Amino acid sequence: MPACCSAGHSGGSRAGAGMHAHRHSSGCSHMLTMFKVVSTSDGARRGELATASGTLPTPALLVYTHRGGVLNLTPDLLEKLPDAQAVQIDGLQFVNQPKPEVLQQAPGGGRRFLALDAPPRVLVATARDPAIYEYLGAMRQATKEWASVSIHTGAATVTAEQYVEAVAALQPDLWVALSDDIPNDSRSDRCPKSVDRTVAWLPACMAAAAGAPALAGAGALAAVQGGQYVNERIRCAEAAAKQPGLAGVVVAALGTGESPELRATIIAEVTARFPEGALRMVSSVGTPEDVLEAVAQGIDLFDSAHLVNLVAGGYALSFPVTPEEEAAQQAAAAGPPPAAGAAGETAAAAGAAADGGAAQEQCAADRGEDDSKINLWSLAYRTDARPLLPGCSCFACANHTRAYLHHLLQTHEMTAQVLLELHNTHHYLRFFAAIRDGIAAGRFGEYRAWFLGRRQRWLVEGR
Amino acid sequence: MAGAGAPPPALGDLPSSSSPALKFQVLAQCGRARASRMTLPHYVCETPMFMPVGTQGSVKGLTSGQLEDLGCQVILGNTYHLENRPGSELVAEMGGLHSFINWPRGMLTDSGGFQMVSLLHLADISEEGVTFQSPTDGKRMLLTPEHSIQVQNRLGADIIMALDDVVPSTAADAARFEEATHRTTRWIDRCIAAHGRPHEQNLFAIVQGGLDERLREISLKGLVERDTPGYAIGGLAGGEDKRSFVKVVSQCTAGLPAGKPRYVMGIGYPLDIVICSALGADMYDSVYPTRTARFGVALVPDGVLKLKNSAYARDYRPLDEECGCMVCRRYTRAFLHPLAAKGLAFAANLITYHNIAYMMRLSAQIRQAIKEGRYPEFVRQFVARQFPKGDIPDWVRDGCQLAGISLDGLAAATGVATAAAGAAGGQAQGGGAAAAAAAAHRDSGGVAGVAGGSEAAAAAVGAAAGASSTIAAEQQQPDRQG
Ligand SMILES: [Zn+2]
Ligand SMILES: [Zn+2]
Repeated sequence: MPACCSAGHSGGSRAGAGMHAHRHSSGCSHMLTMFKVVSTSDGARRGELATASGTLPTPALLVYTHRGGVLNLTPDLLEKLPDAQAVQIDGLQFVNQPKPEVLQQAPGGGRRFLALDAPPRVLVATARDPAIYEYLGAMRQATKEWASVSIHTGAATVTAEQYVEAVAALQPDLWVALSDDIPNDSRSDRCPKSVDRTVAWLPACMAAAAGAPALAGAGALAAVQGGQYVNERIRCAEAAAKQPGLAGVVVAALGTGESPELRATIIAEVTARFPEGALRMVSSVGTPEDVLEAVAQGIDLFDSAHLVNLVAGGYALSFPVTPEEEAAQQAAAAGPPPAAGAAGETAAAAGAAADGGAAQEQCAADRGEDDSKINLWSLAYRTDARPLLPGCSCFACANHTRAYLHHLLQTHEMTAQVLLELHNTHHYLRFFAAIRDGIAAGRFGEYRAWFLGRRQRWLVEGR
Repeated sequence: MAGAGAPPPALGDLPSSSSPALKFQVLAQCGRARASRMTLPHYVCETPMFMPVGTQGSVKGLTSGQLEDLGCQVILGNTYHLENRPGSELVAEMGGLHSFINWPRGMLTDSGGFQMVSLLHLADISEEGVTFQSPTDGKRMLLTPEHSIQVQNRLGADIIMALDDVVPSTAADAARFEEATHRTTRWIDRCIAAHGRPHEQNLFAIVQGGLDERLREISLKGLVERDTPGYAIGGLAGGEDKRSFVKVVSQCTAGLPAGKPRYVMGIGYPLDIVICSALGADMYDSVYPTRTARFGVALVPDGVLKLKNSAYARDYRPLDEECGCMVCRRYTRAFLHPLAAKGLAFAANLITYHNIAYMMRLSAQIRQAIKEGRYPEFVRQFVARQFPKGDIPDWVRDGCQLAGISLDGLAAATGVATAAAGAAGGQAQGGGAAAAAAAAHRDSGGVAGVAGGSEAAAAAVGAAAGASSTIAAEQQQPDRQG
């Protein structure tokens, strides 16, 4: 690896100026150095991504947006999540309605247009909506020139240039190159075509970005496709790694039915083709266990597809984020159920375990619950005056009960989704903070073992 | 907002009343209009006020914290819906409606009777009560005055409503109105007798009598004798002609005790609130501001903005340049247009937020103008802005005349104002006009451009002009995740 690739970023820089020096091409895999690994632990890396919007500690969770809105959270509610420092936004949602020029011409630019300008947040533009996988199958006739995508205005064809124009209008800190996004089970003749196109579009995107002032300080991520075919993934990764000026790589189109073993293999093979200093992102990898496995493979960025699904299903996350919280949960389970709001912050998640007992766990399984989440649709919560997660300090838990959430779901009131999104995002951001703490302390392996062991105990013993 | 405004002189001379769970003090009078303080068990309110409707325990898409941020003083819950789900016994077990939804300020529940009659075709009204078919199991059920009050006692709102015999104001059967008027008076006695929490909840009687002056007089007399803590004017907002509407409101506010709150039920069009306040009414509720938001319609001083209109695709102004709400500070019409056009829940939430902010601001402006003794001028400016071409509907002229407010100097009456307004509303649907007016609108300093005026007219005719877009929008499910 060339020396410039391993040179750490000076850290804390809010300007893009430092990165420009490295944006020269010499045929090697020069990476932009906006990212640096601060410490590692058992394969996991604790990093820092320095952007014009601030420094983002990694591994990080990117908050989901749909057409510019944080799904159900208005800006005043998003401000109740101060740790939501990074946001993912699908560039394809800005190819049409609104067109890129609507954002470009808006006073203050695209970020302000979307009310994502203040407080500053790291904006990551992706080339797909991680929560919606609309694969048009045979209808999807991409060519070398353009991608065929399904967006809110219907099926559309998008060239690399059109895509980059839309992305530039968003004024992102990071952006993912356009790729021919196909699911895991795509046929063996479809995959090579996808890789060919993805490989061709990367330089086209980079060339278009070079002419877009809004992307001057932004880092580009290559998307690696190839479906379930590891050799195709490798071919795509090797071609992408030759592209100068990248900030990192996205292992794309995961979460589309691949086995955990295959996913691990794909992540390992793809990341191995890029230098250590490259930022690594995965798409649609979401459950706590999946996140931990990917973090253990050195992944830095995650999207919020899992949370979108949880909210849609009426779920509230309830797993303990640290062993200390688990102990508090067990203590609470041993004693009488806590009164609403009575548990302290250190006793977070205590209420979840208060539901203990094998019989109750069987009921939990019947209603789609497990050791990580509760389902507010369940009649079990009809009169439950506890917060979604006792001890949780989020706005939803500080103000509302499970019984109210159950009622809002039953009556199809939109406020249910608002409150669930608030809680789940708050909880997952805490989970990511705990992961970072574990890595920083050099105990990630221990943390992961505790978490997975807890899961194992739940599966085997029902507690 | 509570506590706003300078204390007027000689409060003792102004009307007031004191009930076990409600104190009412008129703070200022301006013609027939009055600004008052109403002390409820959970909140000290200032009237005139608009009360958003949280049918099933939430105001669409908003949290109770946001409703507080918006300055809402009282929100409504619908007894019929809440008794269906989650049930008043469960709510009582959870500490009452305030605690269940975590709303610390005022609440009002209706009797449930109106929903029975309007939602259920099979409702049958007898002296005993309202018989209806249960929507859940099809069984015949009976809602009596006693049952309605028991349910509302369990819900625990600050203000509860008597069960009245509701006849649609457009019904033609004079004998039926006569019967309903007298029955409503007989039922108030049963409501009062059944009321188990008079020291914590205020039972309001509802004046009935259709559009008949004689029946309204009978109803007023009977109910005023019962001396309830407050009164509602019912049987309106059902599609009756607006000239009769203002006449009835005027008659009722004149006939009700000066020291007690007066609530006109089901009123939510801004213009209606301005006119009813001129006639001395204090409280209003309607689903209109929140429902219309879900169809992409924003309330503004000039009328309404139909955000689905492509004229807004590049309009970088906030919804309302005079509004300082979170939505107007952060978003533009251009942002909201494509999302509203697709019926996205996120856009609906944002427009709902703004529309409630607008209604709260309008209420505060009304109170302020009354306190400062310039309500007639406020009404004139408001009307001029909504009808820049001077095509003021006759009912508005009637209302102002009854309130003793002169509209002289605002262009002449057209005589066919309502029809003209309807036609103008149609024009507002066309995108081009609104787009062309957008630039002019910006610098027009108070008087709206052509399109703005047309939209205002569309708002004024309300149901008529709004209906077409409303029905179309209803076909479209909110697109939550694309
Ligand atoms: Zn919470
Ligand atoms: Zn506003």
